[in-house]
Amino acid sequence: MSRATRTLLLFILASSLTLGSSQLQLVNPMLPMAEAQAATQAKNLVFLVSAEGFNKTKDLSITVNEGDLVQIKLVYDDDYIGDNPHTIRVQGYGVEGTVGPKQREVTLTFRATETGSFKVVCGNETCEGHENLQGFVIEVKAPDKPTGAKPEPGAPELQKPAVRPNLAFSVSFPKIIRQGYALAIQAKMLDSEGTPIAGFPITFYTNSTWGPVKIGSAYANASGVAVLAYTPAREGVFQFAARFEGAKGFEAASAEPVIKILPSLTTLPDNEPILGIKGSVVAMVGLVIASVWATYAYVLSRLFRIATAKTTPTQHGESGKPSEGRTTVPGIRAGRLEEAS
Amino acid sequence: MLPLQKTGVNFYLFVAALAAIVGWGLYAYSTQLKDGLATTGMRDLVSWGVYISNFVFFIGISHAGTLISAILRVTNADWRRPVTRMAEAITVMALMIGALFPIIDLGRPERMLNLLMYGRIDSPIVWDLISISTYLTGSMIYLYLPLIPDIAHYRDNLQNTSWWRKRLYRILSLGWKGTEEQKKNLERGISVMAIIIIPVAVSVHTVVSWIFGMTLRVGWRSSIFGPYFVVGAIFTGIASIIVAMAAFRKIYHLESYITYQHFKNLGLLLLVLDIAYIYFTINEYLTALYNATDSELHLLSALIFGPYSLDFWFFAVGGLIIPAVIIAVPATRTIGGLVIASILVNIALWFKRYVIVIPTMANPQLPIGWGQYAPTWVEWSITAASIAGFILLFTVFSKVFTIVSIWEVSEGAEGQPNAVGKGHKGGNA
Repeated sequence: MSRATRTLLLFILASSLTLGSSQLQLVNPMLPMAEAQAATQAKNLVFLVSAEGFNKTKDLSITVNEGDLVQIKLVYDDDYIGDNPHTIRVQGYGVEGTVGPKQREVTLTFRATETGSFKVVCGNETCEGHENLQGFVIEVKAPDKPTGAKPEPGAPELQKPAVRPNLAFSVSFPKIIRQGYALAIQAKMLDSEGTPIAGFPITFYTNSTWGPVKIGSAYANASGVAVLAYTPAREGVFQFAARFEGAKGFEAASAEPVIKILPSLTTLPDNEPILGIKGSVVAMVGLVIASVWATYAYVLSRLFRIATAKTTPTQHGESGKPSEGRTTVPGIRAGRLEEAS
Repeated sequence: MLPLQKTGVNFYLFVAALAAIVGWGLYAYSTQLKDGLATTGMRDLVSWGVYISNFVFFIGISHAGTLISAILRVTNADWRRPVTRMAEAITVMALMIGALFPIIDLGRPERMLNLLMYGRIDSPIVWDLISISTYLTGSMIYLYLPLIPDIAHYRDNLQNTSWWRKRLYRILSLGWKGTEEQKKNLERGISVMAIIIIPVAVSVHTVVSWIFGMTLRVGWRSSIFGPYFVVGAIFTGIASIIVAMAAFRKIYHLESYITYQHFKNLGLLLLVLDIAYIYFTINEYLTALYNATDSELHLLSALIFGPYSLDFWFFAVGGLIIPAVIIAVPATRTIGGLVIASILVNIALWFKRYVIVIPTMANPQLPIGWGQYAPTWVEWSITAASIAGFILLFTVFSKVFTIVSIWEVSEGAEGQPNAVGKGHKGGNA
C-alpha cells in the first residue's frame, strides 16, 4: 500500500469519526510475522530524591542493556514545608518529570535505544540541593554476544533479531477541541498481542502553510501511551500526525487523523495596534484624505474655469490676440525678465 | 527666455553624460531583476539598505517646494519670487525619483500591486502609499498653476520655435489671456494649494518616519521621529534649493534676479533648521544613552565608536557643526560658502539616513551575531542613476520652462499686488 493510498484511507477513516471519540488506529500490515521477539527486559528502578542527592548520594551509576525498557520511579524524600520541586531529566533521551512536596512521585519511562553514558540531572537551578542532583549516570551497554564455538565455514548465518510485528498505533483527542484551549493528544502503541510498547519517543505534527510542523514529542509510558499538551492557535480542519520513527527491533508506525478545531468560545486577546477605536480612527483619517483630494478637485475646477473663460480685455489692455500677447502675463511689463532669462 | 530658445553643445554633452549614468543604472536594475536581490548587499538580517536611505533622502529634498514656495507665499515673503519655481520643481522631481525606491527595493516589483489589492490600513506602508501619492499629485498641481501665465507668455512670444513646443505651450496654457476671470481663478487656485500643500507635505515625512517609529526596533522606536524627520526634510530641502539656485544663476546668468540677499535669507533659514536638527539629534541620542539598555548601548557604541562611527561623525560634524559655523560667521557667509555648506548638509544627511536604516537592521533582536551589510555595485549604480536622473529631469525642465517665474518676478519688481493680486506691496527682487 502506497503512502498516498494509506493517507487517503486514513482521511476516510478520520472523517467518519465523531468528535466524541476521535480516535484512530493504524496497524502496520507491511510487517511480516517475526519468528522471535526482541530479547529485552524491563528495568524497574526506584530512587529517592532529596536535597542530599539521589538516594542521598552525589554519585550514582546504574547499567542497563541496549533495548531495555527503563522505568525509573522517583520518590521525593525531603520534609520541606514550602515548595522545592526538582525537575529530573534524562539527558540524551529528553524524558523528564518533576517531583517535590506537591507531587511526591513520578516515573520516567524510556527505551534504552542508544548505547553510552547518559546523565540524570535536576534541571531546576533554584531548588535546594540542585548541585547534589547532578551525579546520576545511566550506562547503556550493548547486550553480551552469546559465547560458544565459532560457526564452521559454510554454515548458514545466524538469523538477525526480528522486528516486533503488527504494531497497533492509535491517537486520541478530547471530545471537544477549541481554538485557544489546551488539550492533551495521546498516542498509544501496542504489539500484536496487545502488550504496551513503552519508552519510545513519539513525535507529533500538524499541517501548516509550509507543510508538516513538529508540535512536540513525548515518551510512551508503561502503558504505551505518550501524552502531549497542545493549544490549537487556529480554528478549522487540520491533519495531525503522531509518528514512531522505529528502533532496533521495532518498525516505524504512524497515525494521521484529521481533526476539526472549533472556534474559541471567548474572544481571544486582540493584538491589533489600534484597539477598539480602529473603525473611527480609519474613518477620521479617511475623511481628512478625502478632504485633501476634494480640495484638489476644487482647484482643478478652477483650471477648468480658466480654460473656458471668456477672453475679454483686461486692465492691462490685452486684445486677447496671442501674437501681441506680452501682457498676457499678469503684471508683467514689456519684456523685463525675458531679456535676462 | 533665452535658455528656451538657444541650446549649446555643452547642454547636450551634459544631458548625454547624465543619460549615460541613468542608462548604467537601468542596466544594474535589470541585473537585479534577473538575478534577484542576491545581487545587492541585503540579506536576511539587513533587509533594508541604501534603497530605503535614498527613499528617505529624496522625500526629504521634496520638502523644498513646500517651504520656499508655499510657506513664503502664504506669509507674503516677497523675496521668494525668483526661487519659487525651482523649489516647486525640486519637489516634483524628488518625489518622482524617491517614490521609485520602495519599488526598486522589492525583488519582485510587480508585488507592489499586492499593496493596492491586499494592503491593510493598519500598515504604515499603506499610509506611506496614500500620503506620497497625495503629495505628488498636489505638488504637480502646485507646480503647474503658477506656470500657466508663463506658458501663455512662451506661447505668445517665442519666435521660431519647434512645433512640439508650440503645441505643448498651447495645450498647457489652457487658453490663458490674462482676463480678470482667469486671474481670479488662478489666484484662488494658488492660494488654496499653498495652504493645503503644507500639512500634506508635513504629513508625508511624518508618515515616512512612522515606517521606522511604529516598529519595536532599537534605534527606531521613538516618539520624536515624526518632527525629527520633518525638520531634517526641510533642512535638506533648503540646502538643495541653495545648490540649485547657485547652479542656475551661474549657467543662465540670473545674477540680476537671484541675488546675494536670496542666498543670505535661505542661508539663515538653513542655520535655524540646522540648530533645530542638532536639538532633535541630542534629544534622540541622549534619551537612548540615559536609558542605557543593553540593546541601546550596543547600537550607540556601534554608531559612535564602532563600524558606523565614520558615517555618524561625518554627519554630526560635516553636516551639522561645520555648516552652522560657515553660515554663522559673516566672513564665510558668502554665496560660495553657503553652497559649500549646503552640499555638505545634503551629503551628510544622506549618511544620516544611512545610519538610521542600516545599524538598526544589523543590530539583531535575538542573541545572534550582528548582521553585515555593504552595498554592491548594483546598489551604488542605481543610487548614482537616481541622482543623475534627478538632475536630468531638472535640466530638461529648465529647457522647457523658465526656471524663474516671469510673472511673479515682474509683478514683484513693479510693486504690484503679489500672488496674482492680493493688495500687498513688494518688490525687492
